[in-house]
Amino acid sequence: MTQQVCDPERLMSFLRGDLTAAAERDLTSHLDECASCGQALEQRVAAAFVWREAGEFLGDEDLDDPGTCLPGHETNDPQISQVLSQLAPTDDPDSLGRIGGYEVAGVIGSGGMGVVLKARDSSLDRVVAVKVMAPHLAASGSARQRFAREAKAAAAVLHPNVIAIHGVTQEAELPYLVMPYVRGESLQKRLQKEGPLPLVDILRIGAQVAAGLAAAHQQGLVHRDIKPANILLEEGVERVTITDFGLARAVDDASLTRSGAVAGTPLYMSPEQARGEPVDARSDLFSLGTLLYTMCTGHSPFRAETSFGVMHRIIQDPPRPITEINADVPLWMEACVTKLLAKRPEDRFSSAKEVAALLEGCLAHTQRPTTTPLPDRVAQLTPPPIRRRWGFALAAAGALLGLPILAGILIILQLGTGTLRIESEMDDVPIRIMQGNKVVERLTVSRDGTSTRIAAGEYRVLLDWTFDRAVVSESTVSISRNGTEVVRVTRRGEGSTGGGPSSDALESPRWFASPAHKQAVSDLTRIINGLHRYQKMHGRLPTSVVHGKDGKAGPPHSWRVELLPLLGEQELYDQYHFDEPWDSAHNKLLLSKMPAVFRSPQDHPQSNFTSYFGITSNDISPRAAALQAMREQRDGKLEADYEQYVPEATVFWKRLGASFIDMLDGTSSCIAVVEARREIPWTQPVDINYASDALLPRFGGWFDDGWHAAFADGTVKQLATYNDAKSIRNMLTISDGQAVTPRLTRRLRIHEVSLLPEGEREAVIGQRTYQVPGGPLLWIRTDQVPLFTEADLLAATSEPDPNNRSVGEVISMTLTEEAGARFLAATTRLSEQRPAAYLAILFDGEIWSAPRVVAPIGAKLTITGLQGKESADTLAAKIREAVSQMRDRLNAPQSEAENAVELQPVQDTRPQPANGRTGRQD
Amino acid sequence: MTQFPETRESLIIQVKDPENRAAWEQFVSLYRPVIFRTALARGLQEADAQDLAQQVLLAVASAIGDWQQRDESTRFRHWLRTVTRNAIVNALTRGAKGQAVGGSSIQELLAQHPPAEEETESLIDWEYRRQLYRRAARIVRADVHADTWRAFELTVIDGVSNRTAAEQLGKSIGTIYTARCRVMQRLRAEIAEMEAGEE
Repeated sequence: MTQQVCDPERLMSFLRGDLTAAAERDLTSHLDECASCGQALEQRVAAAFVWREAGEFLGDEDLDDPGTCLPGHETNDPQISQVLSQLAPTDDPDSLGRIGGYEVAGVIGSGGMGVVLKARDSSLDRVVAVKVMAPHLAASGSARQRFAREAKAAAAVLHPNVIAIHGVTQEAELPYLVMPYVRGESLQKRLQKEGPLPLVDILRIGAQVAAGLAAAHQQGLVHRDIKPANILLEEGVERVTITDFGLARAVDDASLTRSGAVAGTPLYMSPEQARGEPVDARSDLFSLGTLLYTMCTGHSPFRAETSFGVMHRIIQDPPRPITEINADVPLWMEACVTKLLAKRPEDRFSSAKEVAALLEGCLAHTQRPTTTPLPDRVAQLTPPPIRRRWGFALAAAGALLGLPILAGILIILQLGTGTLRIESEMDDVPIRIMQGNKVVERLTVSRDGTSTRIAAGEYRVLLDWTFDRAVVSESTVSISRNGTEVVRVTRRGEGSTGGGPSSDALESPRWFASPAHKQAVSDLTRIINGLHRYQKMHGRLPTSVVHGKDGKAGPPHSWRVELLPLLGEQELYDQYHFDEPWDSAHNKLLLSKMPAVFRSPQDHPQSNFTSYFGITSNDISPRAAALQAMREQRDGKLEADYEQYVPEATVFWKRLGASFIDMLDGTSSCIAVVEARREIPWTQPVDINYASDALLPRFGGWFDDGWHAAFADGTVKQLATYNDAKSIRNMLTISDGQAVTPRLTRRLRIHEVSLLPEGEREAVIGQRTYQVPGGPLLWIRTDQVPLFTEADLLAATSEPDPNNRSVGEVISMTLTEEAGARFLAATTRLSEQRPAAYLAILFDGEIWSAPRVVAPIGAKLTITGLQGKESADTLAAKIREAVSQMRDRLNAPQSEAENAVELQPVQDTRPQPANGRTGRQD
Repeated sequence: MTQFPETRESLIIQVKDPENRAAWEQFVSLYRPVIFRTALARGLQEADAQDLAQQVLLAVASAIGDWQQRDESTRFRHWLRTVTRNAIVNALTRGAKGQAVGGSSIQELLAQHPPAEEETESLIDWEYRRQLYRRAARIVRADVHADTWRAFELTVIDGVSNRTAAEQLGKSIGTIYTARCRVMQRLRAEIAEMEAGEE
């Protein structure tokens, strides 16, 4: 007791480890008395938040073993701390304490019943699970007695599917029972992880649970608490063990004596249990039914917000049919579960033994459906009409078509009492089923077959977007009662044109990723061209919503209708009744006559939905009025004034049409029409609304590698999906005064480099086959994110190969650091394996060269071995051109000339800069 | 998934330098749980999260050759850390679009400009810190007396008061104070050392 004063220096010495043993003892005893020094010490060690952080980070699981045994698991659970605190002290450093003869190694779990500890039986040197009764239950004498009695009864059940009981101790402060430690997981955990289980697993688990229950029932023991948490799965599902026999009763005793209420989660209770009536073995059968239901669907059959609600539903409601939730479950399985879930015990199966045998039989049938029939008892449960209807559907389909049934039969839809069958030659066909404009169902059709049920009526079956390898035979089907309709999906033949331009014609201009890309650009070019001509005629662009013919008052229709005469569709325009709403009976008839120009080439050819939308802005009306006023009194300060007014306007306005003079960004970087995937009939006056404070709308959806947009100056560009939101917003508005450099999808694309298998003489890239030039080829996949594009090129040169002038040219490309690193990573590991590798360079979608890679060093990529000077020069020139375009765009983003170079496929039809623009320059 | 499965295994063996090899192994043990838990927090199921961790680590491993040939100037650990973070963000953001995982090639995972994903980034930071704590805790626990650790565990992790802990452990309150402070100090020292190693 030399230093009983508060001495900060002493605290520091302690932390530095400078105190002698005696001085440390003094400090310790001082801390016994002096809380403020204790707190001071803690503050010096770490700030309060660090203490909290440590508790949080270290608290939620075991440090060593992320598996099942979690000491400290749920340590917020007072029950665990309470049980752990009552363990006897131990000498074993690895032990948390002792209980009886067992060294406790950790906590396995905690539940309504108590806490399960993992422990070592030192005398027998085996690991066991010790279930310790929850302290609040142990306080009830009758619960303690029940606990012991039931546990002893359970110990008498010797069955592989029932957990063995090594011993029960009633006398300890907290009664406990000792069981084998089962390495594995509970069914609950498995369901959480995996959701609904495969049928074979469900049957295997169900049969074993039923067998275990049968053994217990034979001894007169009712489990009363069959639920996924009480089913242990050892080594997958090969062996199933039921735990916690009869213990629920002890809980009931305790809770009833304490509060008169039923404790625990009632999700798996039987109706008689929920009503508080006496239960027998058949109650366990009901719970087994809920267990099977849960395995089939991933959730329990009776769910509600409160325990009371759950019990009410258990007593009152039939469960939702399993096959409505999981169509993979056969109807006979649904019938079995429904019988187990009968509200009246006498309507269920007669015994667990019977259920075990039936489920075994079902399992055998599932594994060998052709040789082993379903057990008769189960087959009788299945409503025969349904089975017949399926057979009928198959036969009728063949008859209807007069064709042999196709190899892959994919889907049978039960439409009320009618049947829609979808057959296909192909796997993995994405399909959507529409009713009117509503998508009823999206399906991926696979050979295994999936069934789904939707309401009766008239449907259209469409291939989902971007799937162009197949066609649907009859897209519109009307399902009548008891009728069968068949829709066939067939592989799109090479010669199949689907009404589009022939594929040969589309091949020629080279730089499109696909004919569909080219078509999209062409469509948008025609649309923006039409808009320019409209502006020429009217002095302004159309509004998004046009009221009456030419906007001279009347029911609203879309600008797309107004544009028809300019798209060579005068006849269609004349058919439109402008004095009727767009969805009047007459005008609706015109929906199916949508000109192809409004439809993405990726959409179904019969789609009535447009794929191209104007961008409208909310706040345009007051601004439009202000602009109109300004137009009337233009002066030199015009532009400055504009900027004050219009932060967020887009090209399409709602009340007044915009004019090119309003577009202050320079017309080049301002989007007029975008490609998007919406279900909007083409005449409906709906576009895409833009607001600065709303989420950015989703554009595109038709192509994987970006989306097309027509800019106000008449160019059409394909924008990259990786444009950032800010750039897109800038491109959508007409006058935010910001320079915009859209990231466009690239012409030069070098994607993933990979090695062609040895001996392979050809490489298929895109739609063409290339001969490998006398050696293995590093080829380029086109459907991946590019390794680099021209945007990553800083310079490109070509010169004769100094080492071998006769052979060819050297192209040097200097890449950005990042692109260089990417390219290097991809090439080094391959060239290491195969030193003489070749690289193919794809430009505008076609291989330009298969040169030898000489030196990808850092950011410098040198290519040699090009065949012939001409091709090297052309390639280098193309690359240089791409680079210079890139640079120009960066340096002068508003310059019209450079932008006009961008990706213009149909240069002849590109409209001249609009008059509004010219007016401004005056 | 990947275009060249046969190259994957050999790529890991590319970590030939024993010093770097040890660093790599340490790195994997630190980052695997980080990736796994980040993925869980982003809503992936356990099995998918495991796959994703594997995928990301394989992608990173495949890039090691790149570092060895070009980036000798960069510290190996630092480089690993950057590449991995990008890969996690890439995997989670791209994977989320279509299927849960599996859609990303190695190159996609290694793309150097992942989309800005503050949520994922901060999750990674959080889980990374958790791993530092856990690893430090394993080291410290092995070093200190069992009672000392227990005092720390009870009071800091389980949130038991010093007084209760003293009663439970049959120690004086002063002992609890010194024990928990000593452990905390060791923890912080270990974490600081690990962080220094990572930077």
